[in-house]
Amino acid sequence: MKFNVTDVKPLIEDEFVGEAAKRALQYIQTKRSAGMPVAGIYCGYAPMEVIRAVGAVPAILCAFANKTIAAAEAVLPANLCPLIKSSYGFIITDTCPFFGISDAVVAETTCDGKKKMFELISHYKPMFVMDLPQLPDEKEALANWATMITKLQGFLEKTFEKSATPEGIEAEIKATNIKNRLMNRVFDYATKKPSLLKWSETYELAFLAQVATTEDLQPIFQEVFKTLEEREAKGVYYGTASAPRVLVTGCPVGGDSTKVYKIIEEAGGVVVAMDSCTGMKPFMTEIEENTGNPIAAVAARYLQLPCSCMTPNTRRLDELDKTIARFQPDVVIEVVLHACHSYNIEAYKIMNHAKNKHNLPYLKIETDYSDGDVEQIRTRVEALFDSL
Amino acid sequence: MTVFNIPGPLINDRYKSDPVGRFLDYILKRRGEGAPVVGLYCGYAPVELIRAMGAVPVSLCASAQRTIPAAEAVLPANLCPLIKSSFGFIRTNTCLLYELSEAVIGETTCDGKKKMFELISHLKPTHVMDLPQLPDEEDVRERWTEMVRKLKIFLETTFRANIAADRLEAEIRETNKKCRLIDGFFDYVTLHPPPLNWQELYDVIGLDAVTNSGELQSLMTGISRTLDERIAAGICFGTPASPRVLVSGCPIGGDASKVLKIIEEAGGVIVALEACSGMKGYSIRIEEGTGDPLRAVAEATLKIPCSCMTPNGERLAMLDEMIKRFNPDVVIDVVLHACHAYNVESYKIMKHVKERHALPSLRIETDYSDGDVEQIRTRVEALFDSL
Ligand code: SF4
Ligand code: SF4
Repeated sequence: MKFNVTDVKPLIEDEFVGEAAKRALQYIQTKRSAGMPVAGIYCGYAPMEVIRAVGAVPAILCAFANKTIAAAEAVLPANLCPLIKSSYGFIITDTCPFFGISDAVVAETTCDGKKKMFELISHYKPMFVMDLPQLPDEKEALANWATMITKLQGFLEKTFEKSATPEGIEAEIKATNIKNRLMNRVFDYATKKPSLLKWSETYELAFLAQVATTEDLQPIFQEVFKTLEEREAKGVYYGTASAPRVLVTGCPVGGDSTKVYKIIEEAGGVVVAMDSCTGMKPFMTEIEENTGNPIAAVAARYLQLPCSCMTPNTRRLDELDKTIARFQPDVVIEVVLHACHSYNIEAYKIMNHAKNKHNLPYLKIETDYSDGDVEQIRTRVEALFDSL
Repeated sequence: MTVFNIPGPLINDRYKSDPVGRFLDYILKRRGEGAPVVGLYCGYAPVELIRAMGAVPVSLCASAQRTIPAAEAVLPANLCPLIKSSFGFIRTNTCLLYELSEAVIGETTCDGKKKMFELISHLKPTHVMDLPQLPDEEDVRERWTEMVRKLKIFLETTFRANIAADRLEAEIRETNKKCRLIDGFFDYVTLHPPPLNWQELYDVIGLDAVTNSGELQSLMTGISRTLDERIAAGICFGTPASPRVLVSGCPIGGDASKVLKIIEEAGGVIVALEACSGMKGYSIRIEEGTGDPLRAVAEATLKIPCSCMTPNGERLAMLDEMIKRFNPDVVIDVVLHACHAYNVESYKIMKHVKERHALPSLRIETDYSDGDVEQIRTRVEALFDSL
């Protein structure tokens, strides 16, 4: 799949095109050189606004590379999510630049594998594990999570010898909302038929936007919108009008598992919506402003994240409805990382929902970071597209 | 197999070695008397609350291979067999205990169970408890007590019952008495060699679920008499040279007991069962006479050292106690296939056992099928040979 014209200007024009992680790393390194402490995080539940309000820069420690998995398997079971193994492998082989420059680590009890892996790395760096409520609709969940966030704030303040104020957190809430609105303006270009965005552009922008501040992103956003407006004016689009539009949902997809996106495109599809933590999900919910209790507002927003670690995660179905209405996919492809029980079991509900409520074909792909299953995935995706 | 001189049954009633039959009859009898049945999935659900309401708690965790194919039509194949087996029974309408249950309590202990509950919650009134995962946080007792309070409200509403504080306090005392009796009985396996085998151990371990403390007391008197007679007659299980085995890890029952059988066939004697299907629960006491029995049961259940907790330091402490008490020569950690929590924690367990107790250990990952029996046997035999 490609653009309908040649010589399309990349969405983010810098030396890191195609290297989302390196771009993020360079950003974090610059901030650290300027004296900011780095807080490593493992998932979308880490409250960014609090981390930023303490004056720290977040670094995402989830890893997506097959190369460190063999080392991890000396300690961790082989039958475990590759994301967890890869992240741990980087740490024990001392090759994770993100972990290396983290001054502290924020962890969350999202899934069994991560929760227990954290125990094995807790001696490397100051680490704070957040006890995430699993039933977000229970009335105490919000208060409990707010308490956890307050405790995290205390941990960060103590570790970094800095402090956050309610006003500072409120300001970060507003900054996040601005960022999320801008990101959604970008995503709007993928709602067009055909889409004006290539999957890797959305992916790279999302990767950077998770760690960079709204302020630092402003010049990039300006460029991005200029480029997109130009594309629109010149009639530049990605893919073809008849290419199946694909919504990819499920586990985080990055690095070596972006093979799935590549296969989808090689099979003639266009990925228009990326419903995961490495895609559009982190930018989908607003945080309530001016509540007088910014921690509670932050807590409420994060509890709304429709991750499969929550039960029952009905919000995911609601969000899926919205995403389907907005991006108008022709097919839903779910990516489940090997041994991720929560997404794997939930896939059954997602399949029924996609088929029964939206009449959309659905395919579940269970995969890891190796390339052994590429041809098998290709066959399945091609068969799916043929059936449309 | 080592010396097998076990004469006659340990429990001399009509069930002898049929604990399942004993359990089913008990449930049916209580149900016939009008007691509702409440299904639950793990030790974190406080049974005292259920009993205080006059209801009978039953565990719905299943351990049979035969329902797994049916489960795999919906659940991933790469999932803990306990979860698949339990779900498979429900899906094929063959779980008598689930059928009898008028309400079901779930707990967010592991990813697999948590998400499986979502697929059965429409079948019966189902209440899921949000279990905190960090037992050492200072507000955790508060949080969990609140969850137990919500369970109480759920039970009271579903069964139009009232769970009175004095009834709950009475059940606390009952549980404590029963735990003391069974924990005391474990002294027999500290003997070298012990006068009983693991099957007999298991038979006794289930008894608290089908008795009140008075009944248990008289059963235990009979059991002790039998064991004392065996000791006096020099009857023991295994030889002084048989390796004493502490089995730790995931719950083991039904088709997974193959591991216990293999250990014995390889010449080992099982002297301690750490899992929640074994001895784990019996060393925990619920505080009595606090004036707030609900909080007391909540606090007691939180002491269960399950791998779903992080960091699960209590498990190491409990293992230390068990090793001191039962003097094993080796630790075998059994992990059910795809149980991430116990599987990852196994690394810490083996390291601890080696460094702190200088004991060899072996991790066995298995499921409910019998395809790996010979492979497990080879590994266990190699382990015993190395002692
Ligand atoms: S993909 Fe699943 S198993 Fe892996 S870290 Fe995320 S939630 Fe955990
Ligand atoms: S054995 Fe492990 S995966 Fe299975 S139900 Fe128990 S905790 Fe969950």
